[in-house]
Amino acid sequence: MGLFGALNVAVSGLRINQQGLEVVSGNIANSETPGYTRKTLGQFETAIGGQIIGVRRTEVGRELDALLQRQIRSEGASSGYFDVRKDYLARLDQSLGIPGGANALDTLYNNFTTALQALTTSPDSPSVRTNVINEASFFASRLNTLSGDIQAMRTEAEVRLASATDEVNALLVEIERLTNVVIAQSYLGNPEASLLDQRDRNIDQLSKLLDVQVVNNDGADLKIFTNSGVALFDKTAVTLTFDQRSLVTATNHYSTDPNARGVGTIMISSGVGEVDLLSANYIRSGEIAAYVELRDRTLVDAQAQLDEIAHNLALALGTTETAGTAAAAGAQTGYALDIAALGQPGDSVTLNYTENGTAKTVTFIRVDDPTVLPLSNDATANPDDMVIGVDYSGGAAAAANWLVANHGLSGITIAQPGGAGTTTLQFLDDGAAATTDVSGVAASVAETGFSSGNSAAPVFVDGASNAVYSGALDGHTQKLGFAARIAVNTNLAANPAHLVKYAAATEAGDPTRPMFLFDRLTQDTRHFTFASSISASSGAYGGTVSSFIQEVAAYTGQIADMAAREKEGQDIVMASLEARYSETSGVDIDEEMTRLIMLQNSYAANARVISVAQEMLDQLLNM
Amino acid sequence: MAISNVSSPLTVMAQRLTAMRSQFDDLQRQLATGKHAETYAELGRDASLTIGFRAKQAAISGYQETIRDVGLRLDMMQSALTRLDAIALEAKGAITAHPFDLTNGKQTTAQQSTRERLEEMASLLNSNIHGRYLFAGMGTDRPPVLDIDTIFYGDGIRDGLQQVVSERRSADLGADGLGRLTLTAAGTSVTVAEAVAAMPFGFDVVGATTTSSAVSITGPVGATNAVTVDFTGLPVAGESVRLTLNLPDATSKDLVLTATTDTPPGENAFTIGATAAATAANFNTALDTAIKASAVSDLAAASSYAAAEDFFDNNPPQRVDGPPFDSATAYVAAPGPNDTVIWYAGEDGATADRETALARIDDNVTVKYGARANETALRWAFQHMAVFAVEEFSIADANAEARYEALAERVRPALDDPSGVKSPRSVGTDLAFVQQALEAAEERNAAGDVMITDMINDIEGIDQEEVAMRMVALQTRLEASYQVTAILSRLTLTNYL
Repeated sequence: MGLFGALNVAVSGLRINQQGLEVVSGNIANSETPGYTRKTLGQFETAIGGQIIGVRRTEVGRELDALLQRQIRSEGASSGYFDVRKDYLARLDQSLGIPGGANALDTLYNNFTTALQALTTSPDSPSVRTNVINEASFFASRLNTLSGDIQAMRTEAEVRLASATDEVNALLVEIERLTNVVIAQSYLGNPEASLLDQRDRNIDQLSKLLDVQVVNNDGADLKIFTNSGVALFDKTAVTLTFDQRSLVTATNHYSTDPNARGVGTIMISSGVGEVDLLSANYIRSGEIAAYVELRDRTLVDAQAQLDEIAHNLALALGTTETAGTAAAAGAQTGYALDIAALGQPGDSVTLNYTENGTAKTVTFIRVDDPTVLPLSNDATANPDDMVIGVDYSGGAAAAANWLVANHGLSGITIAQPGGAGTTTLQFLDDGAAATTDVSGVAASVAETGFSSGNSAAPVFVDGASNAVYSGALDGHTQKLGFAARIAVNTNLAANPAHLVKYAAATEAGDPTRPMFLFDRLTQDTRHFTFASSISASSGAYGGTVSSFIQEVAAYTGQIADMAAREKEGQDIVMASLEARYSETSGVDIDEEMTRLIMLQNSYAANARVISVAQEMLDQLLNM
Repeated sequence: MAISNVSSPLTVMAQRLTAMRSQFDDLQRQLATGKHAETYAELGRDASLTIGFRAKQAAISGYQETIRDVGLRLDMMQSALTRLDAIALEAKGAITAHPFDLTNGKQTTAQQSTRERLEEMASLLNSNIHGRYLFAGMGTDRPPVLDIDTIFYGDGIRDGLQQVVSERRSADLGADGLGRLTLTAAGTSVTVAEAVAAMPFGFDVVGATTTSSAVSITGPVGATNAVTVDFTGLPVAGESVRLTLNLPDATSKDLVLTATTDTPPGENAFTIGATAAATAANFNTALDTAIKASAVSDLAAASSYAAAEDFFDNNPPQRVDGPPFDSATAYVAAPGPNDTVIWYAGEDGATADRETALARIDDNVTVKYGARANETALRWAFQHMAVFAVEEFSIADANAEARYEALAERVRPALDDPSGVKSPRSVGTDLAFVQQALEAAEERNAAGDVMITDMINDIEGIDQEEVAMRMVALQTRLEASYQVTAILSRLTLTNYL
């Protein structure tokens, strides 16, 4: 080993110092770049026969905790999910208005009932009557607006799903490209760290959209699956498609049946054919899952709750219950009723009886569209009744004949005392056997006009053309999206006296109808269907219309509050993970500076070795 | 450029600062608005509580408004009722005080002042608040009582009270002035009977008694209530026969004829003749005179009140089936609405009087405070005063004073019913109970409102001190964080190289 040897070693030291400087400067420059992992330069000595002849660099390495990265990705999906959910539910909550504010749903409803209350005191006052109509209109239009807001949010979720699908596709394509480059480089040696960083960033972003699992992340080649096991990237990227609908309304719903589906869905094309990713909950988290959840469940529930409010409001004010008259045939006793009185589809007859001491309720509902038959027991909000749909498409007489033969209730006889083809039916117990006992029959009929002599009045109607709202079950049910269509009867608005005059000769000061309307809203206990896919309080709800509206407002507030808390919790998780990530993978300027000083010293030392070697050579040459 | 979900260390710090900053802004808002929540979500689990409270509060404010409105109406009704009562008493005094003196040729001053009082009564019964008539039952949109002129004299097409009274008087008195009785003398007996069986007009024969053993009385028998007075011998002077007759206004009149030896016999007496048959003939003549005299005074006055009952208590009013009226035997079977003015224009349905106006003053309390001008308590005095005021007399009529006396005698007790059932006081009592209920409910509601407001404030409101304290604490933390952040950012090796 001679002077030249020392010179060579020093030169290799200079070279490696320069390369180290490169890495340090890269780290410092990227210290604020999101997702940048700290790079380090490895080095080792070169020796021949025990003699050190220089120093050499290894590849630039990444400081990365793979476990932490996986955790961040999975929590990132949850973050995306909760972010979206919180945003939308907060908007929904806000649209209900400031508590106690002038536009809050419950305030408007309270105003309406208070106006009705004033009407019971002053039925004759034109200003009080007009006020009732105004408050009713405000409430109806608030329901319309809220419905519109909800459907706008669903439409927006649909648009977001479309763009999220595009984004997933773009990311997958990018990942495919990067992976190909990385694989190519890996044949030549270790792939470039920055390419891996870039690919990771793409995967991170993907994980925000939907929950993914990455297999063999550290290797050059990787596979990406959803948590449910659908391959998104395996050598090549799959393509997702989304058949976006331009407008989503209350009647458009997701269905696994492509013909019945009214909203878009995410399809994946694979070798075996197309798979509907939304059909079996294949996407469980991330923004996409949140949008799907909002579009197909949460916001649909919210709409259903508004519809339930509108439905009950219209029916509470607009239906007349008529009890049957006592009837007997031999030893059998019961009640008689003319079923021709059911004038609208949705009108019903309720039969109450006891069988062996157990109370039973059967609801017969007029149905004009036989394709919806038979009805399920959930067709009414009452959880304890049995529902029988009666086909009126052939007229009341045919319906009566059908009912007599096919009601299928044990221990109950339905008879036509006037003979086949007559519509007055007797609902009778089993007589001497005494296992059943009919306690009552009542028809519930939607009013179509204001002067029938009944106290009920069609204050609210379905749409601007004053269609009667009777809660018909034909087609996709009249209730669906009713909150968007509910309106105050224009005949009533044109003639507010109808609020009082239930017959042609009703006096202006007659409080009968106002009292009835007021009591129906505040005192009458009704059954409600509480649509909720996330709360335990889902299902049947019994109470007044007032209390149901309170319940809905409170419920919406609560789920928004819950979403906000979940997001808060998730933010904390994310923050702590990110803090740990930046500790292991982030750039610490101080550390880089120290390295810089070391490099500087080392460079100076190496340079000094060269200059010393130079001097020694000079001396040798000058001898 | 894709943004990774992995943030840089600085953003973590920045996030914390922004979080604190927005917390600070939120506290500031709370201090400004006095409420800790702006949405139902921020209220969290308490949302359903406050929504419930608000509904209750809205209901209470509705009830309180109702109580105010109804209270105002009741006050007005009470003052009208008090005045109605006073008017009746004043009228009673006036009728007692004045003698029969036709100051304007056909009516006494008492009649004229009664007419004025009627005008006032009508206007009281037509009391209204903001166009709501208080004594019209459910027909609150129109004045319930017509003006007095129309009631008395009709509206040109339909007849008024005066015409009804006059027709009824014809029917009650009959053409012969015997009050629809027949008087038959045959031998020793005289028979008094109603001209037509079960007729609503004229006298009704109730019975007869005598103090004489020479007189035998049979009856009343048969559908016409025939009473036969048979002179089996000659009565002694001073002995008498008493015939009791019912008048159309449900009062009765005794005609007492005393036997006398005088000729002529004088008023209410008959001369004892030589034979029983002659005495019977004298009795017949005396009875004829007595009945006719009673007919023009008592019967005529009673007829007027019966006519008033026909007019005021029926809708539409009952009319005598005529002309001719003096031989009429029944009312018009179905009086047309255009025959007679209907004095009460308000609602007159089957609903009970009080139930024509209802008010919910609490969740479970409904008060009834309706009234109709034609309910007995309000109509009674009005109706009697109307009869008294509508009658007209002529100085030429010898029986005028007797008829006037009979009228006045009947109107006075009607104006002051000691039992109160037929006086406005009875309505006043009913309404006073309602007023009590209103007061109780108002107090209850006010207390409930205060409680609920407190509860809402507890849930939605803020504690100013607490918020201020939290703001100070947060400010300290925020300032410290700013400083530390600043120091940390300066504390880098870069500055010392």
